[in-house]
Amino acid sequence: MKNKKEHIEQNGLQNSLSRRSFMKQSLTASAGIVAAPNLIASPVIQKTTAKPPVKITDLRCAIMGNSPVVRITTDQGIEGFGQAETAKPYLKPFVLFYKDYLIGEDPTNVERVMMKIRRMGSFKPWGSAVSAIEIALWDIAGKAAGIPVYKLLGGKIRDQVRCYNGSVRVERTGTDPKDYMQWGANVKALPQGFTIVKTAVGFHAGMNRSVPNFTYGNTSPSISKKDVGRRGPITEYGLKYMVERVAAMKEGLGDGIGLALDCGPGMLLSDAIRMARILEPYNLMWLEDMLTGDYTPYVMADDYRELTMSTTTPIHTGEEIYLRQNFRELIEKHAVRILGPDPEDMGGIAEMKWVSEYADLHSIQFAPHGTFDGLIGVAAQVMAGAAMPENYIAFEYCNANPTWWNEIVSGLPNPIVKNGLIDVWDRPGLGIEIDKKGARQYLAEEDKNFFD
Amino acid sequence: MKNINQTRNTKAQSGIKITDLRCAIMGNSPVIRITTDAGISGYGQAETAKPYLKPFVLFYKDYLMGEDPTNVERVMLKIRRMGSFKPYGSAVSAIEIALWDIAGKAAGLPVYKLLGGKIRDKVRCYNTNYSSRKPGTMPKDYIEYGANLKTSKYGFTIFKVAVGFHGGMSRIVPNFTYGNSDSIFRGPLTEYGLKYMVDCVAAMKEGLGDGFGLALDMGPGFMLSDAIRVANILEPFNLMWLEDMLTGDYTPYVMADDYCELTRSTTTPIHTGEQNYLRQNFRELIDRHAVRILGPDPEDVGGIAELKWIGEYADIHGLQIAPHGIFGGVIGNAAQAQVGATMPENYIAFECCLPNPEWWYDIVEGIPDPLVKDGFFEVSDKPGLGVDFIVKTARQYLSEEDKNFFD
Repeated sequence: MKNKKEHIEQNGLQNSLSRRSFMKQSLTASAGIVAAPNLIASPVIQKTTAKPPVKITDLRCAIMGNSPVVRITTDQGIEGFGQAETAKPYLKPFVLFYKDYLIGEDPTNVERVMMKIRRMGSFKPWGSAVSAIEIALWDIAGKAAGIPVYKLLGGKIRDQVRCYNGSVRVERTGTDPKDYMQWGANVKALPQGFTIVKTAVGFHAGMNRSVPNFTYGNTSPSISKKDVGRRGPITEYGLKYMVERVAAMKEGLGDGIGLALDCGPGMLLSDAIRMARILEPYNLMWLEDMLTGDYTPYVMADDYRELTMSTTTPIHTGEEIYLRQNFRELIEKHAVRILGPDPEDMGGIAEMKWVSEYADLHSIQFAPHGTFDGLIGVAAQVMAGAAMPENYIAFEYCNANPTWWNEIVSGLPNPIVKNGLIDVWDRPGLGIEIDKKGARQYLAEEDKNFFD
Repeated sequence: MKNINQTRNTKAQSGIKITDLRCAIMGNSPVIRITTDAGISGYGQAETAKPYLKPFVLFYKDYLMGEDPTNVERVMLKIRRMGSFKPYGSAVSAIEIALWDIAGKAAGLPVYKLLGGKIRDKVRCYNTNYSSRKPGTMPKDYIEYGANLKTSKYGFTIFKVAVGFHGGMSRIVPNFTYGNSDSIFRGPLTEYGLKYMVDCVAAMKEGLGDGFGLALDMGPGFMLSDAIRVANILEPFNLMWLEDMLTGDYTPYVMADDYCELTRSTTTPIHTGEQNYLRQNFRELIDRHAVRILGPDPEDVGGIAELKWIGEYADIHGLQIAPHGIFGGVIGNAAQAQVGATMPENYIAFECCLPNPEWWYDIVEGIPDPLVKDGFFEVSDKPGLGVDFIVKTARQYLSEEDKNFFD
């Protein structure tokens, strides 16, 4: 036992040593670029160029505080981390499913590796594992090159990335309009200085369960009467109930903060059209997922097109959608005004960057989903967000949950969010480090070798 | 009033409850079993090509426990949204089929009566032949290959053969594509590759004659312009259909726009759909007449009731339906026959799965003998799907970790 522990520690040391020397090598190489003409014939450089390619040696997954964390190791001591949504602790076997596809591949040709596994993913949650792997590959590719991931995604065009608040919750004092007003005032006072906040109403807020006579629907997809259907026609009472509370929230928030609403899925098209129209005076940032979202494994672009054409309120969707192909109809038909893919579900950060340019070409804005992405996810969002075009609004910030994540992840700014923005950092890869010693205590018994 | 309520309560309480969901890998095929407190078990199966599926099936267990399997839709509402394109719709689909098996057995009715009633007494099926009996790889060898197909003991009337990117031709035939990425799945076709394919098809048709339908499984992997050219050049052969030229297998998207262009360009019927999950992912294909024939797989699309619904939806748009099922297994065949008996007149045939390994015949009762006669599959009138395990003999094919599957 003692021997094993020693072995592990020694190994860890070796890993970090070789990583350090490797990074040093990379730095030397990039420093050499300036004087390149004189060095072309240098045997030293040639030797560096002939360096054997990096090879993936393992793919691991640990559930840390409900969040699937992915770790890809290589034969050169470089490791990459990715994360999947905290809401998916069941994901571990689905991540490991891809292991055999990855072993022996060169992680620095990210696309080449992705071509092996991309087709074996799908709508949320079945794109999560592939997405987390993609992010970990970019982490490795960045570290191997000694540059931050944003440089591999085309380069940063902003030094700070805006995020919106969809995860720093403020308790509401009750369900009356005045409580919603107070909530608005309290959200405004959050220390992060968020400039945009998103909150749930309607089906997404469970009003179909908590508010009597909210819908005409009475389905129950279970023998349990508590399990109320996820879709249904909204009553006039339900509509007014929502609108009054939106008005109250706006009053509390004032004009200085954008308000976005997560609405569904579950609304029928005509209800969605009516609600979007009635809410026009409030100049909302967007109405999200009225028709689809969360776990709806389809797009329904035609319906979104009708909704979008009917109103000046921007319509938003996309968090459950996997790959650019499934955004094609939404974008080319201008079916929504804002897209909100989640990099941990849509196939990764390079995929998100590509889709954001595709959206920009069609005058569609971009506000990525990310409320459960974890701190590794925040790092990935910042790297990608720095590189996305000017149609980019903000990504949905995920705060450390549980808070011990703040202690084991270093490299993020402190505090992370200032005035609703996050400073972009320049360290190689995703630019974050995990304090393995500190993190070990949060590993389950079956995951205890995760960092070894 | 009080009495009425009591009656209702009694009825509600007498409902069957699901007590377990199990999955065993038998001969590479995930078999699922749903047990109930009424002693009735339902069986479903997922494609034989997916032995890795067991944890994906068990993922849904907690959603099912305690539910009444005879209200199939109610149970499906709980799990349907947690599936997706192939292979992520397989588990949900196999569960749906097992639920219908239970519902039929509980009512003492064959499943086809719960799906609207049968409109045919036997269901046409087609044979996909990836046989190694091909005497060689030169186009001329395909004449004999076509002639051999005709002699099938089951009297199939429609055959499907892999050509192009499907079945490895793009790898075996040098200079078939201009592509040189690692991917073997896509690439621009060379003129040589084009002619090679056309020659093979001509040879097969020569061997096969006019009495049999020939369908081609082609991709995915064709670029749109190549697909258009191939479909046009093949028009004189009056093929049944060209399948999955642009998408298929593991492509988690639909690409209806591209299929629209392809379909409009040619008289050769274009076919796709085996990887698509749920009616919503057929909406654009159907509404826009993007293909002429749809081929959902009941073990991937979300089950047999979902397949039936899509069959009718396709019918009101003038589209035909020829369900995929090559790896459906013996339970899959039974499910195909039950739903196939109820599908509207746009139904062509389902893709029959020849039981593999042969011992499937020994461990399941209710398989027609012969499996297929004159190209038709017999529809069982027994309650449920009409097949059941002979537990005593089936047990020997369970792995150690699955050994309690039938208990």
